[in-house]
Amino acid sequence: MSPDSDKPNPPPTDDKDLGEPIADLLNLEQDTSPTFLSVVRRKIYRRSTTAQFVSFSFDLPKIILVEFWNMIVQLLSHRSTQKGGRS
Amino acid sequence: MAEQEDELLQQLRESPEGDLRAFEQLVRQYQNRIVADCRHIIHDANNAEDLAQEVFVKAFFGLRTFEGRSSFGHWLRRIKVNHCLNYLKKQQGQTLVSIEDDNVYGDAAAGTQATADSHAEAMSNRQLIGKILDSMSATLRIPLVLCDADELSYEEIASALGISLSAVKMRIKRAREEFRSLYRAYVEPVERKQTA
Repeated sequence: MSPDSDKPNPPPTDDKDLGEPIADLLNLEQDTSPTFLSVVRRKIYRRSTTAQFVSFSFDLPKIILVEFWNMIVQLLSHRSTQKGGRS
Repeated sequence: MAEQEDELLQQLRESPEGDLRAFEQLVRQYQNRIVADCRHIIHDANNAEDLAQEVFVKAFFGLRTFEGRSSFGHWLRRIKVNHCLNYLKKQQGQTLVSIEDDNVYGDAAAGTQATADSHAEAMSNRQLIGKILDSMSATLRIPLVLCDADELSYEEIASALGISLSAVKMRIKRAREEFRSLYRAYVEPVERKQTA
């Protein structure tokens, strides 16, 4: 069952005899602790930070390699233009 | 209320990192419901809040995939069901207690009936329903909660639980019967006392 399918599913109607007390299940609620929301917030922050750190850890070596490669290419092209100038 | 919810969802979608304040309002709206459902699916009051919090975190990061074809509440409930069932599967491996086992909570059911008279007076209807659900076996309780509390279709329940459609229908029918009889066992003695 995928939560992302977004397909609205009507509740089953066949042989369904709702009435008290079954209908009360629809209003099932339970009080939460006062810190509930702050814990959710903290978990979201923590997960965002972890995701950023992981993507940075993956991207950093790539960026360093690309920069290093560019440096070598520039150095080589600079040398070849110098050689061409002398001859 | 639905308009306000749509506005909040719009705000959330427009913000590239997700608007946490708007999301917090949605959490406030649904937290009591999600915690109660988690509690009755996993039959564990201590871990229900943790699971509900993880459901909200998952929903926050999955909001981009929510296209709005169903209500936000329904989408959230499906995330919750998947999360709770995964949790139960993991627990099953650790505790070796099968959710298929009818007798896991059998003793609790017997005990609750014996003490029903004294407890029912002190309980609100919400607590009473919680207690009845707690006394039911997982085989019947989970399909009942998924069907009558979460309003999932029989097909969705069958695919979530990995059982056939006819098994789902049968379990829900049995669960409703058991739920009603337990409810009557709690409520009728109190009503009789009040009329006497």
